[in-house]
Amino acid sequence: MSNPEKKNRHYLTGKEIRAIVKANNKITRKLEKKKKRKAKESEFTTVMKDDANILEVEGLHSYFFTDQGVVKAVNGVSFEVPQGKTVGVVGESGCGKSVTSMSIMQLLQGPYGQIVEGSIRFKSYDFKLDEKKNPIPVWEEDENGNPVYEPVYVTRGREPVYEEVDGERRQKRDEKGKKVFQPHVEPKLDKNGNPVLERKQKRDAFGTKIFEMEEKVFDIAQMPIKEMHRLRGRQIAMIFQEPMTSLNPVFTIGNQLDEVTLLHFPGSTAADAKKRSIEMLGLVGIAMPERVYKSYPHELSGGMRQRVMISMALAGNPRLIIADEPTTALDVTIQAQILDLLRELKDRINGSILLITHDLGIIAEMCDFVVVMYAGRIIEKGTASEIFHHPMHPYTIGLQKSKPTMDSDGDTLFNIPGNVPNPIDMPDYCYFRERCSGCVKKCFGDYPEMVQVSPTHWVACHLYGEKEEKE
Amino acid sequence: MKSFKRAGAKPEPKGDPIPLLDADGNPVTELKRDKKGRLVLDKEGMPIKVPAVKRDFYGNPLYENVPYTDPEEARKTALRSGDFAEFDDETEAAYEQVLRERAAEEDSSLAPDPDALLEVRHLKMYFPLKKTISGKVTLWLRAVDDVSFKLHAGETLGIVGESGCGKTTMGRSILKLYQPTGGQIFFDQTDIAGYNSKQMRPLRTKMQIIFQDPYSSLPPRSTVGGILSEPVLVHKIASKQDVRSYVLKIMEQCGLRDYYYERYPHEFSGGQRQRICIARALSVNPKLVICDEPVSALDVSIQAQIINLLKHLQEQLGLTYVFISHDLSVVKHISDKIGVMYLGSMVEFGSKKDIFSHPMHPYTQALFSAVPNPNPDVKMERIVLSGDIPSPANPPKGCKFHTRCPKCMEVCKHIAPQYREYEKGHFVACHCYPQED
Repeated sequence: MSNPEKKNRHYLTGKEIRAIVKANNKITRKLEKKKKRKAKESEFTTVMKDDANILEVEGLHSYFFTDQGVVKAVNGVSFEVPQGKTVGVVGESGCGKSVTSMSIMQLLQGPYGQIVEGSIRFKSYDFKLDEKKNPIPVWEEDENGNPVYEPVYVTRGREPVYEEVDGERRQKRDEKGKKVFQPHVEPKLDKNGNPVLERKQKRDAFGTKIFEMEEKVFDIAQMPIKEMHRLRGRQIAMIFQEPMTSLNPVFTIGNQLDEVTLLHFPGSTAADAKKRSIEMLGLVGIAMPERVYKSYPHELSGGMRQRVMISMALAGNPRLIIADEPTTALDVTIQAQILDLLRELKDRINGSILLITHDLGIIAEMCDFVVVMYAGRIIEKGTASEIFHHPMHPYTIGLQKSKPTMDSDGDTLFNIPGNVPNPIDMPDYCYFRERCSGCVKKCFGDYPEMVQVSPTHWVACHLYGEKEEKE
Repeated sequence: MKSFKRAGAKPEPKGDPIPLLDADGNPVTELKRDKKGRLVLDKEGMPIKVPAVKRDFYGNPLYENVPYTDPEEARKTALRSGDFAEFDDETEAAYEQVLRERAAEEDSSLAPDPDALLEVRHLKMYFPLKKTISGKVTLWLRAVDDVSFKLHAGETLGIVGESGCGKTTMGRSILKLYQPTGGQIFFDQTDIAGYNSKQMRPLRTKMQIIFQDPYSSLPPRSTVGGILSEPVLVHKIASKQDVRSYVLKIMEQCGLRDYYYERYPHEFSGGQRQRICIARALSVNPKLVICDEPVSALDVSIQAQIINLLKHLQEQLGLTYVFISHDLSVVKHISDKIGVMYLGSMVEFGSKKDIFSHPMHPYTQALFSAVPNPNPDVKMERIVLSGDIPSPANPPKGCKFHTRCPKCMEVCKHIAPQYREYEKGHFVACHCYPQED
């Protein structure tokens, strides 16, 4: 251990590794058990601290239990997402942005990745269930309040589609010259030959059946993994970083889009799902939705695939969209299209967006609130104008100065010296101390607490903590 | 004009078929037959009578001779009147090919500019996509299609464009990593386009490349010292005894510590690896360095370090850079001249000041307006281009950008614009500006 270089390399003996693995297994087994337990709904329902928020993350700790030691990827993160607003999370790669979003969806790869501590409160708008745990439909009623009935239709085989060409009745053909058929639909009859009637259910603009809803607040950190299907896709949707790898190459776009509707809207048929999927593809600005519906992911360009991903996220009518670097893999002109689309759609569905990116330009354009992360912790958070016009933490200031902009001249760029500290053994003092230019004596003490500078602006730095004390 | 398909062939004038007349001068009728000589019947099963035409010995109909029109003349008339109703796109494409070949031939006899370190003329890089059984290529992917520019020593040329527009292919074909299909590359006043790999070897010390991804462009099994000393030994720049001290000097220049000499690439972060790549390129004292997206794979704070290093080295060693990137703000920061590429062609080329103060091509304007501004209070008026970049295997006719252009005119759909110099050193290819007759 006398050689300082050897210590830097984190060389571990076999004995040490075995001890780490043993300790890890003990913790992960306990946490996995908790995730797989059967729990009553009351165990994971809570109340929001502020009713205007849709998501509140408080003291979140997500760790990865590796054989080299525990990686504290997210180490005590707290922030809120208000209803109808966009919150941006910025930071370098490896600072825990994506792990935060994965924790919100409970998608961390177990048993190594675990949410260890903290709470994620989410205000969901879920189906109201009756005693048998079935959703309660909303029935259509006429003016006097009497129930409305409609005949039940069944499909039986298929029938050719005809068209008139030059006064001649001919079977319709598609572009490839193939004959076109449609499913044969007829009313269902009972034994006496009368049509079977059914109570008519209300439908939304896309023709999907409506059920009674209620607002509930769930603590995602306490939720068993089996209950997560109530939130994933339906309440919180995610747009992943790489549209090239996030779509399944062996199924058509339509097949993958229909799945969302069939899973999340009870009582919807294949025909309903197709109708909704095509409407959704049209909503995100795809020119020929019918053709894209039938095609496979490899037939589409990167921008089109990202649009499909967004339409898939929107198909479940989510209240919160988590966009994890949605434009990193795309070109500037396509990026502009996608950002315009996201902004427009957010207003249309009155949802909130949690936008994760490392591009400060995108954050400035899209977000109302900004959270800056560094090495698993939030170092600064506030409204977009506060962060961009009065940045306080030396890291935020450095990040803004180091990015060349279209208005800047060709001077030497400011660069933050050094690298992010090793995630396996984080120091107990400020993580940014080694790279910071404005170090004071206090920085050699404990990790700084979050200090409130204005009603919406928080910063974790000793420079500002001292000032507060003096006043 | 339809039959004019082969480039350079004169069109065969054709009019209406000549009707067959009898001795009194009345038209003769004959029975309608298909190509194989069988009778064509109507609905009632009766043969159809049509006016007969004069035929040659082989049975092919004879046509009236129409006076020969020069396609160049016809093109000019159509351009002046703006009437493209009967404009033949295939003919136009073939005609343009002829014009371009003629221009390339004329330019090829010119002497290279003595001030320029690198001069590229009508560079073409085509890749075969489909071949017939006999090996004839039926479909070409035109990755780089007619690119020309000049670059002086000590300058930086920034190349911007969307992915798939041929930036990287252009950089690689300048280095002769691909054998270009056509055009000339003058490096130090010598045309190297026709050189083979053996002839290129001494030139490799003068031109080098830095690749995009520092994670995959370093050999994992050799140490940093090994990676950096190999080119030095191969080109006999330093002897075996002196190679270590020589490499350590280069490493110091690039901000690498001396004890990194024995380490392996996997022990370094992305920024440090990119420094190793830069050191490897500089170890042979090159004049020209092609930087192929050197900062795209790096974090923002590391990007600034690498850009500063590249600028510092340029001042110290007088290097010439071709800086390829899709990040406009980085290109603006580092470049003296900027070339904007779209679908294999250069659409605009000029000094940084000219291009950023008044971009002329609609694509450049849209590209600049699409860059997000890190100021939340400024709402930029943005030109959002609809649609995607077309396939370079089947580019649109006329101007390649017309499918997405907000200022598209009728003429753009038929005729490719000329790449012309409008101000000193500011080249644009667009119909919005006056064209030569």
